[in-house]
Amino acid sequence: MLDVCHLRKEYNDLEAVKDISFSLGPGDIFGFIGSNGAGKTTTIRMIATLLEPTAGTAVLNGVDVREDPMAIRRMLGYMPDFFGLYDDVKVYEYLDFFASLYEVPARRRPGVIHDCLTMTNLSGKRDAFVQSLSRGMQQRLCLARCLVHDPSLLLLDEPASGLDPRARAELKELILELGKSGKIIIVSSHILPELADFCNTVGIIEKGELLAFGPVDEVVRNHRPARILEIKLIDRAPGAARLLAKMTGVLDAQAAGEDEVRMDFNGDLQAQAELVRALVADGYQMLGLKEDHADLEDVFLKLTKGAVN
Amino acid sequence: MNEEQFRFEEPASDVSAGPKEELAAEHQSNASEAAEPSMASKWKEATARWAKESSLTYLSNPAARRDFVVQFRGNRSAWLFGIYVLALGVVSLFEYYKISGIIDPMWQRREMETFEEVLFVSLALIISLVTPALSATAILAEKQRKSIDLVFVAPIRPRTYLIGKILASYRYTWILLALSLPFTAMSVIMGGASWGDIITAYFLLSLQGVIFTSIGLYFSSMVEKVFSALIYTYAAVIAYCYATLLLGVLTGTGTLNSFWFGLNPFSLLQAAGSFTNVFGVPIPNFAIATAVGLLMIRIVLGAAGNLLTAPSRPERARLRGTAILSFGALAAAVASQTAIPAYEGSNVLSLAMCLLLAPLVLVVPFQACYGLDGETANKPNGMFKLKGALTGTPAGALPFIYSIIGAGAAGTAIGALISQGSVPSSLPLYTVYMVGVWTFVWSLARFASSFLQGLKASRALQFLLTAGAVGLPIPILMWMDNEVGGGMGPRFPWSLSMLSPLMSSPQAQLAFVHGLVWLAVGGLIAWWSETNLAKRMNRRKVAKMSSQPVLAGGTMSPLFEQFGKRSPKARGKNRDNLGDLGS
Repeated sequence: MLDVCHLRKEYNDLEAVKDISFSLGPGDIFGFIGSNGAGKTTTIRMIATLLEPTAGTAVLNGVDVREDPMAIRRMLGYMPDFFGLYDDVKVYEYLDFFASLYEVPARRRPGVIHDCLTMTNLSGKRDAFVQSLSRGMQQRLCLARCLVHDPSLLLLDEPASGLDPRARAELKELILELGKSGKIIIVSSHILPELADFCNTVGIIEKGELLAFGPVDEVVRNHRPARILEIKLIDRAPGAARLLAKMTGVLDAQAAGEDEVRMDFNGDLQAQAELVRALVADGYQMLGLKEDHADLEDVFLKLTKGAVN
Repeated sequence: MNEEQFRFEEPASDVSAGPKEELAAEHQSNASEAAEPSMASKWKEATARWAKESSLTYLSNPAARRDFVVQFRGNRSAWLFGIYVLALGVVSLFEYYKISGIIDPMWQRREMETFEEVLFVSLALIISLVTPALSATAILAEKQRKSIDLVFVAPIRPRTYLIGKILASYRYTWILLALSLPFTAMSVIMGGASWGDIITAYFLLSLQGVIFTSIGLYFSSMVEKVFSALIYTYAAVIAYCYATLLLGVLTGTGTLNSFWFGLNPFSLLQAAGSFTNVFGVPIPNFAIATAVGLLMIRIVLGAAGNLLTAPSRPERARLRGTAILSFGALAAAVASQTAIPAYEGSNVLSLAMCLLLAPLVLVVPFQACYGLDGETANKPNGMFKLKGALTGTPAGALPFIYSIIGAGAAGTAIGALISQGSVPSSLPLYTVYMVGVWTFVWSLARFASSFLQGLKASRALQFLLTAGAVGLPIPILMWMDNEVGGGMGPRFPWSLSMLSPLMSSPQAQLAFVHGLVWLAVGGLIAWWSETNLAKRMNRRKVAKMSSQPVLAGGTMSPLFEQFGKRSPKARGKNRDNLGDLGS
C-alpha cells in the first residue's frame, strides 16, 4: 500500500510539487500524466528517497520515506528516464552488482538474475556488454535491474520514451504482467494512448498540482459528463443545429459546415432516438449519427493549459 | 512467462515481502516486542548486524567488486603495468651499472642506499600520480552518467560505497607496489637495505595510496567537472606532501625523526627504522604514522560521505559526529607526538592545533555560504542552532565549526598531558584565538550568503573576502612599519595582522586579544548579515505572494519597472494581463 500525503517540494521560489496526495494498492498500475516540467519526476524522486520533500510524506507498507529511507529503498525499484549504464560491464555483471547492492544473498543471485533476464526476455544477452545492447534492450535491462530484489513498488519514469513501437508493446506487456503479480507500479509518461491501455488508475498533474486522480473510466467520465454526438446530413446543418439545441438532453449544438452537426448530449437512449425522429419529421435528410468517445487525451487537454513550472 | 517464474523462493527481507507476509512479520515483531528481548539477544542481534555490515563493506563490497572487474578488463591495464615494469627496470639497470663499477665497499654501500632511495622516490612519485587520478574521477564518472542515483536508491550507505571505491583503488595500488618488489628486493640482496625497512616502506606507501585515494574521492564528491576534480586533488596532494614534510622538519630533531616523515611518500624511508618515545617507551614511527593516517582518512571520507548524503538524514549526523571525534583523536595523536619542540619556549602544541584547523578554510564555505537561493530553500534558519551542527543546515555551521575547534583543543590538551604531563598555558588563549578567527571567517560567509543570490557566486565572494581580510592589510602594515616603526623597533604594526599570533615569535596574550577582537567583528558582521538576509527573504516572500516581479536584490526588473510607477490598481490590472510571465 502506498499513501502519498500532502507531498510538497519547493526549490527557492518555485513550487515544483504542490500538496499532492493519493493512495495506491497492490496491483495498481498508476499512470502519472503531465507535460514536461509538470512535476512528475520530482514527485517520483521524492517517493524514491532521492529528494527530500519540503513538506508531506509518502508511506509505503507502513514505512515513512522520511523516517526510514533505507527500509523504503529495499521495497522499491526505480527506473529513471535515463539508463545510467556502466561501460565495460556485461549484462550479468550489471545485474549482479545491483543484486549485491540490494543485499540479495550471493547463493541466490544467479537464480534471481536468471529469472529477471527471462522475464525481460534478455536471457540470450547474458554475456553481452551493456553498451552493445539496443535502446529497447537497455530499457528492459533497466527494468530487470529494478526487479532483482522483488520490490513491492516500481517507479518507472518515462519508460517508453525513445523506444520503437515493438519495444513499447513488449514493455507494456511486461508492465501488465508485473501489475498482475501484485506490485504497485507508477508509470510517468506523456504518451497518453499507451497509458490508457495498461493503467487502471491515472493522475493528471500540471504545474505541480494533481488535477485529477482515479480509475481511468472514472476520470474520463467525471471530466466529460456529456457525450458528443455527430449527425451527418446532406445539407442544411445550421438549421438542424438550431432545432436540436431546443431538444431535451442537448446541452449545446453547433453546425460544422453545411453537412454536420456536433452536440453535447446528456440524455438517455430514448431522448437520442427522439432527436433522429424530430430531424426526419422536419424534413432533414439524415445520413447517420455517431458518438465521439472521449478518451484520456481529451480529458488531459481539457484539464491542462500546457503550463510548466 | 508467468508471475510464478519471477517469484523468488523466499522474500529478500521482511520489508520486501508481500502484504500477507508483511502482516505476519508485523505480528511477529509485535509479539517479540511484547516479550521484551533479553540483553543477550539484543547484543547477539547487534553483533550479527555489525558482522553483516562489515562483511558487506570490507569483504564483498559491491562497488569494489564492480570497479575491480572493469579495471582489469581488456588490454589497457596490462599495457600500463608493462610500461610501469619496464620503466622501473630501466631505472634499476641504470643504477646497477653505476654501482657495478665501484670497488670500494663503503662507497658501494652508499650507492646501494642511494639506489634504494631512488627506487622508493620513483614509487612515491607513481603512487602520487596514479592514485589521485584513479579516485578523482571515481564518483564524478558516476555523477556524470547519472548512475549514482541508481546506486543511492539502493539500501547502501555512502560510507560503504566510498570504502568500496577505496578498496578498488587500493588493490590497483597494491598491484603496482607488488610489481616493483623484484627491483626493491635487488637492493636488499645487494646490501642496500634490510627486509624490515622494505616491508615498512611498502606498508607506508600503501597507506599513502589510501590517503590520496580518499582525498580524490572527497573532491570527486564535491565538484561537477573532471578537470576541476583532478586539479583540486593534485593541488591537495601537493599541499599534503609539503605540509607533512614541513611538520617533519619542524618537530623532528637531529637524532630522532618525526612520525610525520612516515606520512610523506617521499620521506617515508626515514620513518622506517625510527622511533618516538612515549612515556619512555619507544614506539615505531610507522605505527604512529599509520594511526594518524587512518584518522585523516576517516575524517576525509566522513566529509566525502557528508557531501553525498542529503541533509537531515541520520547518516549525515553520524558522519559529522565521527568527523568531530576523529579530529579530536587526530589532534591528540599529533600533540602527543610533538614532544620535542623545535625551539625552546615556543607554543608549539598550540600552534600545531592552529595548523590542524587550517583546512577549515575549505569547509566553512560549504557549511555557511549558500547564497540567497539556498538560504530560501532552507527557510529562515537562524544564526546558531546546536542541533544543526550534525544535520548541516545554515544555522548549524557555527556550532559545527566550534565543535571542531573544541575537539581540536580537547585533543591537544590530552596529547599534551601524554607527552609533557601538563596542558600548556597558551592552549586556552589560542583556542579563543581560533574561535575568534573562524567566527570572523564564518561571518564573511554569512555576509556573502546574504548578499548574493547564487551558490557559486556567494562562495566565490566569501573566498575573496577571506583572502582579502588576510592579505590586504599587508601593504598597509608594511607602510606603517616604515613610517611608525622605521623598519626597526618592536614592529608594532605587524601585531595588527590577523596571522601575527602564528608568526615567528608567537605570543599567547596577543592571540587572546586577537581572538576577542575577531569574535566581536565577526559577531557584528554576522548580525548585520542575518538581519539583511531576513529582510530580503521576507521581501521575496511578499513578492511571491503578491506575484509581484521583484528581483532577489529587491530591485525591480527593468521589464516591470513601468508598473511600479502606476497606482496599485493599475498595477494589479497589468499583472493580470501578464499571465504566467508575471509569476
